[in-house]
Amino acid sequence: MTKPKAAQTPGRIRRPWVVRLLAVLAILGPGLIAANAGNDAGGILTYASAGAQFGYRTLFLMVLVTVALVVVQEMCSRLGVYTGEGLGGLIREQFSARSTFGAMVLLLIANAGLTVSEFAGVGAAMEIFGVSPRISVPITAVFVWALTVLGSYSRAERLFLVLTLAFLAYPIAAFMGHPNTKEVLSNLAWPHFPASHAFLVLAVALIGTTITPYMQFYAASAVVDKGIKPADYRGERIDAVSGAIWSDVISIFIIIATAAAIGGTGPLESARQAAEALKPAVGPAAPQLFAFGLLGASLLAASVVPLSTSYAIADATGAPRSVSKSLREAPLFYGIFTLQIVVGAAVALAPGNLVALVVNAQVLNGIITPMLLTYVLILANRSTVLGTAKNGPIFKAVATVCVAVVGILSFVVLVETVFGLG
Amino acid sequence: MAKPDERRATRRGAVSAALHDRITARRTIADQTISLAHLLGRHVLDAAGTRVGKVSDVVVRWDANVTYPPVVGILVRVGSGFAFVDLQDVMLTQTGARLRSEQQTVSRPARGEGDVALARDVLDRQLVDVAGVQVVRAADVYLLNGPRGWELAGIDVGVRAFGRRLLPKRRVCPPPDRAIEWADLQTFVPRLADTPLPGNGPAAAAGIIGGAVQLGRPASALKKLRARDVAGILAELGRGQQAQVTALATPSAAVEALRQLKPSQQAALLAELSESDRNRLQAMLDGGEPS
Repeated sequence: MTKPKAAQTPGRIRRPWVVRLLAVLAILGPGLIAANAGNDAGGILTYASAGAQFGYRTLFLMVLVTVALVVVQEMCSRLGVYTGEGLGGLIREQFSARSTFGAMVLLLIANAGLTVSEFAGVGAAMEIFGVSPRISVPITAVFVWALTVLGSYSRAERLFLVLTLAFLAYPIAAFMGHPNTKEVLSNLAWPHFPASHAFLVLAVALIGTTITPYMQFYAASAVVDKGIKPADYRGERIDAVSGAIWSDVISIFIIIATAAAIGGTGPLESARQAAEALKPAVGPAAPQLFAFGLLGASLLAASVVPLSTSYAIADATGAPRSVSKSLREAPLFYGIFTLQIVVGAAVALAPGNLVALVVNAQVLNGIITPMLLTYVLILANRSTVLGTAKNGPIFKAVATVCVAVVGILSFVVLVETVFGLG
Repeated sequence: MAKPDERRATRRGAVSAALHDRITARRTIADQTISLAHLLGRHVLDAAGTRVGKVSDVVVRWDANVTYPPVVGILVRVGSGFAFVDLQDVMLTQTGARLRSEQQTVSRPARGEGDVALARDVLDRQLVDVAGVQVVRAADVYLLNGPRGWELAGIDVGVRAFGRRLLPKRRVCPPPDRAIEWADLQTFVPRLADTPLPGNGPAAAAGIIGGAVQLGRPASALKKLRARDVAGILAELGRGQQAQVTALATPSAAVEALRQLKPSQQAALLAELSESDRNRLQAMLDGGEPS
């Protein structure tokens, strides 16, 4: 007996959708998980807010942001691989004392804004469980400070990472929420930007939350920590580029899922509202699942962001740095860490909409990002730093355009906000 | 018994005498000490007092047998170019430099073998404080006018020293914040390039370099470090410097320190070493006898 013709051609076998989905996840899984870990509370809530307020209209912007992110992350990884140093040390060695100080102040402000959004994320997540931010935020601040200073953070980190896996429900929800496929593809391929101040502000927030100064410093340090040699850079470059793309694929799924569920309803007002987008995938448990994910993402970054800021600033100023040193041995290191936790928690406790606070913190990041990107661009253009691995003419042109466009957008938003325009 | 107003006068006299002594001592020290950060960017005057340029760098001569490297000259920015002036043709002060004669020419390449441009190669760079067993960053560099002339005395690693550089320069440079003597330091000096860099920037004028570094002087003190100390130092250095420290530490300490690194970091560091060092340490890491 001969097999039916269709069965002889594997491509024509019609497998159940669950099997096909599992096959896709098996391929995408590791990358998705790694990329997901890079999405903090600020990112989740800003992407969700973009979907809620403007539907699919920010999708083309995300494509452009992805190009810029790839360029920036590649430069930072290259700097780390070829110099074996982090960005803080490189800036100190290559720029004047005043320029170094300026860069560190910008980093401190940007990361303090991120820390605020992480604590706001904790507050928003715990609100879903019925706990007031006035209780959850101070307790979390003390918890995170103690966990980091007492040196048991690395164990807790794994738990936080597991909690963030909740956000892997977004890609599923994006498919199951029956988005308008034609509209999604059209918005991905072509700009449909409304001419409004609100859209411009959100665009800067999306840039700020995607191309964060924190991630630039992290990317350079991570390759140093991994011990990547210049000879192995080809593989690392693929890793950096694919990591940046994956990270934005997740972000795009968050926007699509939220847009399909609550698109066009205006700015996001609560985390519970953002959780609506997960309902097609997980049903009535969506708010709880979302809250767990948001809590994990917030806790994951609430410690790492202030800690990395302290390391970068102490490195640049030459002050002692390490969690293994005592408070007396490294006062600047611990001072900056503690200051960020205290300010982050205090601002997150201010009355008002926590989601709006998170988005505003990303706008601040978006305004600072191009200024710090300029340092990265100058470093990557210098032959005294990278030798023959410096930016080539085409890459240099693309990177300069990316930094300039982000800079102009941020400047316009800053001017409009300061002068009350728009 | 002295009258009250006489006592007052005596006390005032004593106070003013002490103050005078302190000021004199400070001036004496100040005249003999120069902070590099304080000197950079100051005017260079010719013998007639006319401004001819600005101090761009100070060059010292490296010699393995000399603990405190002597200053051999300064790099002066003149318009858009740079000129090297030999120390015998210039008088250094805290607030600038003055040429001794009208005729100044660049008599030799700005940077010869063993010459180190301090602003470029030492200031803001990482160094190993071997005595304190820590990695430090030079926030300032101090020169001292000793019996053999101006020489490199040490560095300041204090946060205040860095902070001072953010403010307008004072007339007289303040004393160091956290000074470390040069004799206690292990430096990394960029290697002289085989081919000079294009352009006429300070790097090109100073005869500069590629990314590789070589240790500033033979580091006998590094051999005294224990494995734990070597590991702690490696953790805070860039890869090029890590390789230098590994090569100069005792093999047993180096191997123990290497074992504390991740395998990928270990491989990256070994790849930076010379073939003989790499083979020797790899053999010890694998449990075999050193070759």
